[in-house]
Amino acid sequence: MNTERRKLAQLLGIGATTLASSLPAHGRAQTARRDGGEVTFLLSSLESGWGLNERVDTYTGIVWGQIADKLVHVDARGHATGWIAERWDENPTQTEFVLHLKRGVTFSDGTPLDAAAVAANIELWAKGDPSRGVGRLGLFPSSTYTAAEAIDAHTLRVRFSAPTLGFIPTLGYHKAVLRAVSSLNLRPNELGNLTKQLGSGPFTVRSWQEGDNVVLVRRPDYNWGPSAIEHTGPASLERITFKVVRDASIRGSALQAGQADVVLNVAPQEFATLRGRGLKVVAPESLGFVSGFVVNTRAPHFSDVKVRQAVQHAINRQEILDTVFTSDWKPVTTFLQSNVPEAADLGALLAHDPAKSRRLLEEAGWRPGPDGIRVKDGQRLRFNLFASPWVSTSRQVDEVIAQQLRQVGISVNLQVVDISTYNARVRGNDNVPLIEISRSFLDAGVVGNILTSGPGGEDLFRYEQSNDELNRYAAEIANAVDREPRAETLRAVQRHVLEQALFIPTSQLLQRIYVQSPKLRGEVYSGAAYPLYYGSWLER
Amino acid sequence: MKARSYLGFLLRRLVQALVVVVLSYTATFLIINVLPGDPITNMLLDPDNGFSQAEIAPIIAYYGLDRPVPEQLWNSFSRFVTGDLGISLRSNLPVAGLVLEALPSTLVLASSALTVALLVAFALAYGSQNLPPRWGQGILRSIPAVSLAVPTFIIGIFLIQLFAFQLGLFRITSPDSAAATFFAALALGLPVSAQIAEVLITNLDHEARQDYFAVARSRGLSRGALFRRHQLKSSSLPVVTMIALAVGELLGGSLITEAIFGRKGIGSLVQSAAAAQDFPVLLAVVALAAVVFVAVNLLADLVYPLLDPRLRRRRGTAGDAA
Repeated sequence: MNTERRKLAQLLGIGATTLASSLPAHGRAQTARRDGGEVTFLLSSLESGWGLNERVDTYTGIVWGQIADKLVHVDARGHATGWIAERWDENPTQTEFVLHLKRGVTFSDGTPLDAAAVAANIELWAKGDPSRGVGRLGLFPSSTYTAAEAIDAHTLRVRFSAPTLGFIPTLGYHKAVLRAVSSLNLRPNELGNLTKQLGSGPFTVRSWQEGDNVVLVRRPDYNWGPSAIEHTGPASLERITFKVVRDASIRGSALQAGQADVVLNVAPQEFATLRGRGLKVVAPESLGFVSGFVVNTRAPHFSDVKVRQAVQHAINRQEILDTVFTSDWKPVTTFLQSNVPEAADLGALLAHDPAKSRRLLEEAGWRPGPDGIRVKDGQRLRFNLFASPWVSTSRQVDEVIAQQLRQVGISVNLQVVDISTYNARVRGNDNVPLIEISRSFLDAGVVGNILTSGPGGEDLFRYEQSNDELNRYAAEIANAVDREPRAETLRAVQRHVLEQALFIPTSQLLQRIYVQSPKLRGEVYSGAAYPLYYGSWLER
Repeated sequence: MKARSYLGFLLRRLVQALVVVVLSYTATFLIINVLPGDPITNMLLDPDNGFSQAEIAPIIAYYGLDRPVPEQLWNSFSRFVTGDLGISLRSNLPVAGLVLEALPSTLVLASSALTVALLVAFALAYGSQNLPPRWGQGILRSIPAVSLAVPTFIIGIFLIQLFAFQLGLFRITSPDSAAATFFAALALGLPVSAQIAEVLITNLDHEARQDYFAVARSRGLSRGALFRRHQLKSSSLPVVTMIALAVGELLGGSLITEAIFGRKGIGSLVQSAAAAQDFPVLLAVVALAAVVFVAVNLLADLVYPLLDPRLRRRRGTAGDAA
């Protein structure tokens, strides 16, 4: 929704706000768990269908979190605890994992969630099924995966060809939901059918309408929630309704009017108003990269480290926080989110220092031209910056950055395009120096995959395998069999990458923000900020 | 003789209708294919995944998105002709099911909105002829212009804020309730009513200036009878044209109204399909819209002669000559 429409909607909403703010503030004395109650959750989309692996997106992922279980729960510090896999054994080389499953777990059609079913799920995550148009699960360590086999009904072994420290945390990923074997094997034109997609979760589907709503009711015989949630037996909430309301301001107003209990993604500018009305803004920390740019070193002028560093120091990150975001966003100190255990504190390398930027550019031979834009060998220091179509605040952040870079003599031509155009114009285009990244992960080993073009490597900086230091780091991370030494390497990588200004962080990445009634209690969030309402209840 | 010419007329219009449907199908297909991207590529290239091009290729190939455009068009069209609308690329669900699920809600909304539009238009038109000139007619006559000037989404947001959130008359989470449907129909119907009212009022004014009207009035007929018998019937012909055109308006307007009121209908289906470039869904809806639009206009052509005896006579004469 564009700004004008949002403003207008806000104006229209002022009446509603004043009326409702005259109601008495509710006392918060009663916090005891209450059985029953219905929660209405409004979100902007539910359109990606209910198919496998990459069909699960942010929105359907939230629904899946209630109707399906996962093997493990991963918290905001990246720590994995038991869920359907009660416990697990790892061999010293991190190539073999034995998962011990909870007993008596069934899917909503009564079929058992046993080792064979888990193995079938893992096999499909690792390989997908191109014969039915199903891709593999993006974050799954497929490149080293060998096999998953049931040892007995409640035990299975998963084998890899090389150390795979990230395997267990990846099982807590929001797309790694356990489905009944019959659901995995559906024909292509039935894969999206939620009636046939069965999970073993605390809620089951009462009714649904594609692209519009899903109504869930609790499962009376559920008793196998994650150990991270202090609740046993069936869920306390009786019903959860997910409903699409596309317009962000109408979602906010519906919450204020008491027609909804939770609303996903409202514009940051509206937080103050909503808080003023006694509503709660929940911005769970999320594991992953921060919001920022990876640098394509093949792009014109950006092979020069001085130009990259000049950009790094020309950005005033505090100004971005003050203009676009609220105090819910923390300052960045590296390119990993601050709750990632391996995140280093390298804020000094990101200091705003326009004088240094100008000096670096002078040293690199870029002299101010008549219009203030720097020139070298007849070329102006100018590039196209594409706002990320996946991050709603990206355009506003990039506008601020464009102004900041202009102050040191770099001209930025901001382009705002849709996803398709972005893919066509930015992917594989070596003329685009800065590519915005917004990626969550549950295990920081993912960092090793972006550094080079080695096996499974994405080579985001475009050095391929020509940069010895990056090659060494990538190999060390890939071969790590122990978390602590790997964390050392990851901290060294962060320093190196930021010193070389190969990654230009801008702000903390908060992609899932929940504004909700203060009466909703006891929800737990996964390491990627997905909610679990199994342990939740509604205060009276 | 007469019946045969009518049949010929009908046949000609049917062929024209078919051509319109085929052309709109092809045009939509080509436009979508000129634009870069498709739902599958966009899903796989999500920055969260980190897939290589080699991993993406077999999935793209499965959906046939790597074939030349004419081949894709031919495959899609030949399936379409046999009644197979294909599978939504975005949701993996059969398109026919998606359209059938969305259709009832849109039909209810569009027919309610048309009812609202006609009631409001005729009320305004009656008032414009029979209320005191300065304080009644003047205000009524300015209403259509005002409601035409205000965009549908503003009327919609205003109605929701006032009647749903402040007065609590309906819930945004139950958009298909009678109250919610009424207000959505109001938002959608008001601009349409304005168009109809403007045409109607102009025609009524024209009739009121005619000699036969002055004669009728001098006979001492009541205002109601004057309006009904002498003004309205002769002014209604353009209204039929307006209604036929309004169907297009209602289909287009439902896009915005459904999105704002949270209704799951053809409008919101098109909106999300267009945003995602989900062309099997778009093609099906475009074909459906073309069929509806053509059918309604055909119906309007067939109704004209019933309202205007002159049209009946002319067709009769032409038929006799043939």
